[in-house]
Amino acid sequence: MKWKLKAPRFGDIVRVEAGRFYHYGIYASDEEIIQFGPTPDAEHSLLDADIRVCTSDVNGFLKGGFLEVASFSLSERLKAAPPAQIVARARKEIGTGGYDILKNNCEHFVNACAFGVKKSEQVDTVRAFWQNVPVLDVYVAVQPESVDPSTAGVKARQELIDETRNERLKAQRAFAWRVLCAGLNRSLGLDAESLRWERTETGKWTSDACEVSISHCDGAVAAAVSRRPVGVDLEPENDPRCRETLLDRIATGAEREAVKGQRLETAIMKLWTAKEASFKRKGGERFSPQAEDTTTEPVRSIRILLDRAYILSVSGENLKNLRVYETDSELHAHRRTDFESL
Amino acid sequence: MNREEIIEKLKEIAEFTVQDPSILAKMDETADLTADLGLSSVGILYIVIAIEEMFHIRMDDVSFGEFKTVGDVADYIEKKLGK
Repeated sequence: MKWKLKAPRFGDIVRVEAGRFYHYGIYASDEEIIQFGPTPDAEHSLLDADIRVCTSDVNGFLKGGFLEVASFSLSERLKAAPPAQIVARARKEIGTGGYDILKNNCEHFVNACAFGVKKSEQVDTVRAFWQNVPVLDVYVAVQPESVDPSTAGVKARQELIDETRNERLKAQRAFAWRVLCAGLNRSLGLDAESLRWERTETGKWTSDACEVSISHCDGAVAAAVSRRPVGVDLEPENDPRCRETLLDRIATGAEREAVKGQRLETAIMKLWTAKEASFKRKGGERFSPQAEDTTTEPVRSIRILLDRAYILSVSGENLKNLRVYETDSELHAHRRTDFESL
Repeated sequence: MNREEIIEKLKEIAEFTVQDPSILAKMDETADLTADLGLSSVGILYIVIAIEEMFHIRMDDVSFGEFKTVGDVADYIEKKLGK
């Protein structure tokens, strides 16, 4: 169905732009457009009960907007009822209520009149938008003093965690997955346990419904969730291992130039985490810092205060949509916007 | 998800639909959906589907127009999420 600015004819489907969406009606004459909308005496009501099939003149329908007229494709023309039947169907419904924004709205009404089928492309379009809205959320959390290592939240992961001998690492891994599971639920409404998880040969965990990445360091964890490949890395800002020699070992020539004049420890941690995040997003076999060029990869680094300062790097699409949350010990997430972009 | 998180998530949905940052800034539990946030009858389409998709619930037992404030919407979502 295409839309044209032209003079309408008896039985045409017409529409007018209303903000981001369109309002639809069946045109009978300039004095009679039959529409499923708020009745004239309840024009500003948002209550479904105040919405009924009613008539208005063309000015009342347009409210200052432009009238667009439906132009059917060949297959639509073959399916459409004759104009007299379209108008008769519409008139027969005058006074009828039962409005439902998702299942019985003004667009469903005109399609039912014309084709005998209730359909709303607007509903389909908006739903598709929200089902694919870019998500790039990172949950950070300070590792609690004591963590039950048997509560990772995903059976497949728990089995491997149980094999970890180092108790401290075991607790870190379990907590990181708890943070991830809570984040998946909050950001994408997913129940992590019900997803199908697989571990790739390179050790990266993947699921059938989302992309994730996890990082844990001394004292804190980070879990990234997205619909697109993502990598995350978190490290404390101040690490005594951050020396000039380390910079020489990990940075490319261009990166060394770029960090000149910056605080050495911060610059090294930014580079290191950015490289790790980038590597994790791509899921490579072996991490080689100098092979990861942060000047060409989609990566964003921030400095965030938790129990102390940390450098967090995230690699993925839609970095402008990055949202950072701090997860508390009860696994409730609080949005953080007070971080410093590096 | 606790109530604070529900409100926060509603704000994130509004970030996609409300362009004026001053409107977003005053979006709290008491904010009136029409008077403060300027929600129109067609705008409801966007919000209802967003809530369904982002909270993974079905709003099939309520008319969105019955909600007056952001807090009313949060009450409904809280109940739906089984809190």
